[in-house]
Amino acid sequence: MDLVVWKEKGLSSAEEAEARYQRIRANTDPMPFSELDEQMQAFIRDAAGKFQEAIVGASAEINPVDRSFSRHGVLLRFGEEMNMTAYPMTSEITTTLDLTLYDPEMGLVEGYDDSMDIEVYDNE
Amino acid sequence: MPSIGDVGDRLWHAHEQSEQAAASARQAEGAIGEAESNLSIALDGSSASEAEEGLSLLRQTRDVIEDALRLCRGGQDTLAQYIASITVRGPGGSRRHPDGAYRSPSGKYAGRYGTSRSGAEAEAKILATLKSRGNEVDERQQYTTTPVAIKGRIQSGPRKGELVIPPGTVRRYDGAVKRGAQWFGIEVKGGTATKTPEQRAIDDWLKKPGNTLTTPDGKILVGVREYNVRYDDEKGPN
Repeated sequence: MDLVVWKEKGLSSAEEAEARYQRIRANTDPMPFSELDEQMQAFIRDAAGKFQEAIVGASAEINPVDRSFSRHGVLLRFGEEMNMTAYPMTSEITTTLDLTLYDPEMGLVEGYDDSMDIEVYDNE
Repeated sequence: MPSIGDVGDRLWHAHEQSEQAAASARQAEGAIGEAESNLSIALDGSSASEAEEGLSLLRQTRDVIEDALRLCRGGQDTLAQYIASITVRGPGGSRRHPDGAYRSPSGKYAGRYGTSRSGAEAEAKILATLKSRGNEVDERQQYTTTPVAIKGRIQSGPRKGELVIPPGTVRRYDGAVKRGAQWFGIEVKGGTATKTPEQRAIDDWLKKPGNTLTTPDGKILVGVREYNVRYDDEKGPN
């Protein structure tokens, strides 16, 4: 199963997420790790510590920080044996880092829509 | 299907009953306070340990009464908001709720104009999908109330200006999902769903470290996870 992770303002619709997934699969607009958004770098490092072999673009032999990734996001590819663990493990990281997670097979997009122009004050 | 007038009458009746319950609770609170005072006076004539035990029980009872009173006040505010905002739209009898969302009589999101079934279908699909992917999910609707006033500002748009959400405002989530050891409210978006400024402000407040919302069964929510799902108007969610 594939899972896809990216950083965005707002939350993509399922259609927008699918289009982004296809761009990532095609590996359009590759960027070196060092030029990725900080939160994406943090995600790749954290994911590499848990399931490096699933990160498309990296491998067990090559550290992800030495590879390039699509500027549109990171593609993870898991074997069937992880069908019940991949999503919770990945979403725990994306939740902490405020990233969007897309499950292409299910058409499910998870994240937080911060596109509304609202400021909330700290508790008095 | 009841008429708008019938629904309004029922809500007003419930509102009056809520006020009576609150009044009863206040009377009970007063009675407990008086009994507590009497017990204190009687301390001289009883063993110290018996009197202290009795006083402790009275204080516990007073705490229960205060909780009941708080719930009554919360119920009053919710009912008052419902009465103020009731609007019946569409064949399904959906109406606009205090948090700004249109929902069906069963509480399911009913689309931008209150006529769509897409919210309920998307919700069911998303909850089932999360579970099928190994996530720990509570599929029940999660009702919470804000513990404090939430203040902020809408920076642009037709409602630009200060925003104040009073304590006790109800925020309902479509479920809850666990991330690591923590629970998050689930907000399902499908079709044309959009968040109201009030909902967004509560969720932004919840994201701040240290802020939590508690569900009736004691879950501590520390944030919100939102979901979009592939949706087809004719076929429903994939």
